[in-house]
Amino acid sequence: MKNAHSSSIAILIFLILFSRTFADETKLGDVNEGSKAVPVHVINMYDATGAKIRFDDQPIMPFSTKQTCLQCHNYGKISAGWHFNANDPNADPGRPGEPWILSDQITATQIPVSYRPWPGVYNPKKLGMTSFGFVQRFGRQMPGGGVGEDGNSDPDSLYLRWMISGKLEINCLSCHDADAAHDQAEYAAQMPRQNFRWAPAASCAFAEVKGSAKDMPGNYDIYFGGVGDEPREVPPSVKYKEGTFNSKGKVFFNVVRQVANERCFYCHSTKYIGSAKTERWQHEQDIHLKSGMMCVDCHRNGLDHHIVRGYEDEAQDTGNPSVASFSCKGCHIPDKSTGVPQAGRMGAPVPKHAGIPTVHFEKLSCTACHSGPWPSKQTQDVKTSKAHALGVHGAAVADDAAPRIVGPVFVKGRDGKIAPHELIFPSFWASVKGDSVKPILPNVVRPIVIQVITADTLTDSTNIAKMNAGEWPNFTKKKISQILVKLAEKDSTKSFGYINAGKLYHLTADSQLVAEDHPAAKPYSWAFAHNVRPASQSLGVRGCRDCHSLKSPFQFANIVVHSPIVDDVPAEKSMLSFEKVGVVYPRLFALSFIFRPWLKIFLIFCAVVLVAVLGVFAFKGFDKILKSISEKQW
Amino acid sequence: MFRFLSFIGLLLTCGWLAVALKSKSIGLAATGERLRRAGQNIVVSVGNFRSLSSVEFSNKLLFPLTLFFVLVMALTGFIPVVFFGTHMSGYILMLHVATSSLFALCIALAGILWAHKHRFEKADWQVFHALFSRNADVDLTQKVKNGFWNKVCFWSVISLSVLAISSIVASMYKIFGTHGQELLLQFHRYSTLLLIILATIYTFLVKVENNKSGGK
Repeated sequence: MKNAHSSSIAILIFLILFSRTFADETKLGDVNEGSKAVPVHVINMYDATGAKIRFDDQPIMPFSTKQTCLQCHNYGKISAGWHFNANDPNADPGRPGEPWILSDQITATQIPVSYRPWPGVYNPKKLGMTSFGFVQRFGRQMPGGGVGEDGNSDPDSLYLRWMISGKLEINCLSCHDADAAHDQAEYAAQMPRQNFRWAPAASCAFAEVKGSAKDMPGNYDIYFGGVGDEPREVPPSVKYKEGTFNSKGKVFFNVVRQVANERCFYCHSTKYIGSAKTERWQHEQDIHLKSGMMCVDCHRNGLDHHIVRGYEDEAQDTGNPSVASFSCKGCHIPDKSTGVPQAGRMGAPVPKHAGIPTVHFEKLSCTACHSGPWPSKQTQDVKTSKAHALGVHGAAVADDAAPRIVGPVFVKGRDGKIAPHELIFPSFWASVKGDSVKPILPNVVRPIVIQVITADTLTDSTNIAKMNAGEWPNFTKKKISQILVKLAEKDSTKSFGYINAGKLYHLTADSQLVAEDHPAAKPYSWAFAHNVRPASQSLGVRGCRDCHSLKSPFQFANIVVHSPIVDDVPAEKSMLSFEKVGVVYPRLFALSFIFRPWLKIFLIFCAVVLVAVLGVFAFKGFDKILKSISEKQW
Repeated sequence: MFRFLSFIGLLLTCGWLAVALKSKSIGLAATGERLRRAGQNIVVSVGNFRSLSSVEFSNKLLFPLTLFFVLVMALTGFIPVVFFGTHMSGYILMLHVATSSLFALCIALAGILWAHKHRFEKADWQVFHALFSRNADVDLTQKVKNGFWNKVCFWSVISLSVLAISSIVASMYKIFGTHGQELLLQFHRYSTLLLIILATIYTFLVKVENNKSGGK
């Protein structure tokens, strides 16, 4: 271990000294020599040590995307890109985005977590999650890199596990593999097995991966074996399909620059539940995609892989003015301040916005009217790839599977504009010290919760059924009290509470359960932009009362607050509370639109009267002038 | 641009009014007293609405009410723009819109009732001619000159009111796109800025100059 540490330090010093050189190095594949053709990638494969893989190697190793791709591409530069830099403290966090949700169905836990310092999310490290644990849990929908390569920050006890599993390097194939047989679900399946180094190979069409690094003992050596007698201990291994290697020992990687939409969808899909449209064919697709565009037509990136997120003030965040032209506004609204016209890219129509006062563009984002499902009286439940492991084998497919996310919720963002968001109310067991609340990881509290909620076999049968169905169990206030008491018995130095549905439940000195507002219970929300509806289905297309009416869900919809607590059902929240426009004013303003048609008619009438007066006297004056001209002695 | 121009325009108007009032030896107290009396007149006149003659209605009710609504519209319209650099919104917008119908009613009535009195006549032509003639030999009294400028202000206010009303009503229909909306808003803003300046001058001429010279 000591030797390993010494070598790590030596490598670190070497990397620090030469990192600038590596980062700035321009590789063959990074030079745009002008050809628009995509180079055919018939290349050598290398393993994680940089050794060339030959078809007759024994044991044959999984290819390392890092070592294979860095032959021609600057891996260091790529690894600073948006998809890989979450755990880099120097990376700009940008606008708060969708977090990972640390969800546990049995303990009714859902904690928004992210390495990015977005307000309202928890840093996994501060929760006690290791990088290894994070990757094992969320690597399913991560393209690798970043935390996947950050074994150094983990405790020494995980050193051997990292040695076996290997690093989760950036899997270039997650996005760039154009092979129809590319199976990202197979990549995801490697995460719980801790087969990090095997995951890229598992996803590609020409390799098969078996076994599980997780089942291997700590002394297992990936080159020399060391498997015990346990029959379930199947060592991780890769097998390349026949014909993978050509006569020169090279392999064809079907990679493209223009990433297919399906690759993006694996990690960026959203399903809105609760609408009458249940069949897949009834759902609409984003208007841009239906027009033949691709995700990457707007969400572009260069070699640095700083992918354009597409929000309006991204240029200020990134310090790169050119990204501004890839937002909705940048593409659709001509900007006279730019020297060369940027708008109208790919035939983007310039919206007329007929009859919409310009104040709307100060108060609302484009997405407020154009994105997501048409708002209804109540928010809908939402499932997302990242939160619900959509597309991952074995993930709960029920519509009410945890975590419970709702949308669309119209929230005033940090730019002061109202935009549609998806929203989650944090829910977790926590240690409470004064005003400070620290979530307890679900695995710590789970045994206590199970013990309490299944204590009575007669009355708790529902809970057992719910747990089997992947739903939250039913909690009563009494059971919450019991769980809190048991947590306190386990650690009498702390007091405990349960954050749920916007409240902190905790026991008072006389053991009464009370619920009160707490900052830690505040919901976390993130803006979304897709699917974009066509202009003819945008808010306001039927007139002002699409939004300015007491019946309009845009302002007066209820936000469903999910809770497992059956005897303290949380009140629905009003959309207004997130738009920060007051409570009375929007109602009065909406009511004023009842009189608006009359006002318009009345104003027109008054204007007509004035024009008539002006006309009459203008004609009279004109008459006088004509008269004086005709009577003038010439 | 509009923010700057409206700030300068309103500042100059207020400054001019203060200087003009001072030159007529009308202090703040006297102005306040006049405003108080006008307020009382409105209350009394509303109570005796049916018994008012057309002239009394014009002088005691319509004129101060029109001025009051112009003032409300000006404050609600210009404060957000001049002091905060934002569009009108919230309760201010609601007040502005609610007052707009009353303002439109008053200005339409003023147009009907005062148009005849403000028609241009031969003497006005002489004032107009004197403006452009170096050797104008006509001896024009101050009252005639004031009368001419009164009329100019009145007809300008009526014309600008038409522009202000029609530009904002047009923006409420699905006729104009974003560019058109911006243009209409500019029309509305600049026309109201001029309207306020001219209404101030008109009020001064009618209530101060003409009173001094035995007018209205």
